[in-house]
Amino acid sequence: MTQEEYGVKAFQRHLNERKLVGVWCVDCEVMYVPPRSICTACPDSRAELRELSGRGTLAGYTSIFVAPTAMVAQGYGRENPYLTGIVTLEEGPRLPARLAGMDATQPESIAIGMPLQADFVEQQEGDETRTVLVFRPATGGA
Amino acid sequence: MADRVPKLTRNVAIVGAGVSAFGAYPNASSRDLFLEAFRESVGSVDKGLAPADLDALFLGNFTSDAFERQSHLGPHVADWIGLPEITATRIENACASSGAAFRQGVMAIASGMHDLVLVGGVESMTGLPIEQATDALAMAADGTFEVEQAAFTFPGVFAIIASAYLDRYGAVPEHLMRVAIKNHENGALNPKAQFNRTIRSLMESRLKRLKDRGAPVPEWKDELDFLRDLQGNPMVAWPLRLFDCSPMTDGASCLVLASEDVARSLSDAPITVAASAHASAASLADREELTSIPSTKRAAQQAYAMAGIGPDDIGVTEVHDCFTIAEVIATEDLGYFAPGEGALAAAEGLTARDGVKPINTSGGLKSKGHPVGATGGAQIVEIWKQLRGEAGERQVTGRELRYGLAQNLGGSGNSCVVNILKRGLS
Repeated sequence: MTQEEYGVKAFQRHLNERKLVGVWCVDCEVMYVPPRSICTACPDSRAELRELSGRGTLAGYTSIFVAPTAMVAQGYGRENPYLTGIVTLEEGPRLPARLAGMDATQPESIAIGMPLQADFVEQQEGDETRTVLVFRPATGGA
Repeated sequence: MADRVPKLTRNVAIVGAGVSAFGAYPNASSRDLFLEAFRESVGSVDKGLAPADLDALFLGNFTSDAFERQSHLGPHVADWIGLPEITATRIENACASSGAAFRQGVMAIASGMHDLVLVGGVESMTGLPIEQATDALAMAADGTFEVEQAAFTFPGVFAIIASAYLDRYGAVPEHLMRVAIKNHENGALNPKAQFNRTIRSLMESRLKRLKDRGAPVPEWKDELDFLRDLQGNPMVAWPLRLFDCSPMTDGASCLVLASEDVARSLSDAPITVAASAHASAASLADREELTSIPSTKRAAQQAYAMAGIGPDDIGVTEVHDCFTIAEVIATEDLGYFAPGEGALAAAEGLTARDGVKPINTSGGLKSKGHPVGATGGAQIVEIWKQLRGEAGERQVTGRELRYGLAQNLGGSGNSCVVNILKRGLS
């Protein structure tokens, strides 16, 4: 297993290719997202990189009115709050992610447990473009 | 991980304790703040202390690098308090820095390495504009996955925890508001507190200002009504509002630790360290549930085992209420209330100074203030005063206080230190 494929920076490289990836421990049958270089439950860490479905449910969330400088630069703040939270993926693990397609000014109307689908958003940061993972309400079938 | 119960190979006592005034002091540096706490701490030693007898300083500090562009704070602070040659080390565990520094000092004495050490912490935070200070605090979170990808802020992390708690247990934001009201009632009796006032008094000042200005005056019936109104209590990260959040604070805490023999010669009423435990936890998404902090549970279990007692034996407690929801969950994770019952317990007054389980008699982080690196030490200063019967107007009365506990959290609970103090030498 190499740091090229796994680890902190690799997760962003995969997102840039519009892929959400995790690491599957072959022995423990546990999925890790973001992809870790070791399985925290077993010493051997025979792990495989796997692309995930992007389907999940909402575990917890917030609408942020006092924004950090990076989000203020994107136009967010008291008059324009943004949603973020923790998503439970259908493969098992949870991960922190921004939420989209819902009204951040009406956070009480959002339901924990609602089905979500991953999407990839290009975000302009100075001269660079970075892909940000967001989750939107799942449409269509269950 | 080994489950053996940790123990101290010799007893450690606290013979002196003090804090600086907490608040916004733009003209004071970390060094000045710590000097103030140091002086009060040395002055509180019953039979007097010669500073030259001190062996070492373990100083909790989160990020003077970001707040003051100053690293290597241990020796700089040691020099400023007139002890340029002692062993001096800065300890960093985000908001649990001085809880962890306290534990380092305890181990240094228990091991026999030292006989008399200073522990405590300091943070000077108000020199930075609010956005930059928010960024500095967010450095304690997971920089890649929580901050860069998910745009979490610290209020945001605890707001996510609160959303899961309210949903799971049917609690309401008013329960959390009661925590803030209670902590301000305690802080109003603490002359060192940043907000040395009740929320009712803050509300009345606001009404008077609006009236004097000729502006429309809201009809707030009481402090709960004031807290429900977004005009009085604006949203920070839903469902948490301004009065659910601890403030930015400048302040310092300092304690004098001694071996049992030395403590006998210095103190009329020494307080023993019955237990000191420190545990870590993964970031929020990787925990089994969002509504409990595993590092608090683990540190508490270890501390109770070490002290040979249980949660019912604790008479007075300081918990890490960086946000109101954090206090509620701490009272559950420490074993005081069943999961899901902490919010109602607070709303019903069980955690008030005269309740069955007094929590945050100092005013807590909410009212006393939260200079992050100083907080853990300041909590222990309050327990020390309560156990010695020296907490003034906010003294817990009507019961014998034998044990007190301080729970100090770092980040979203990636670190937790639980210290248990006991009256007398064992």
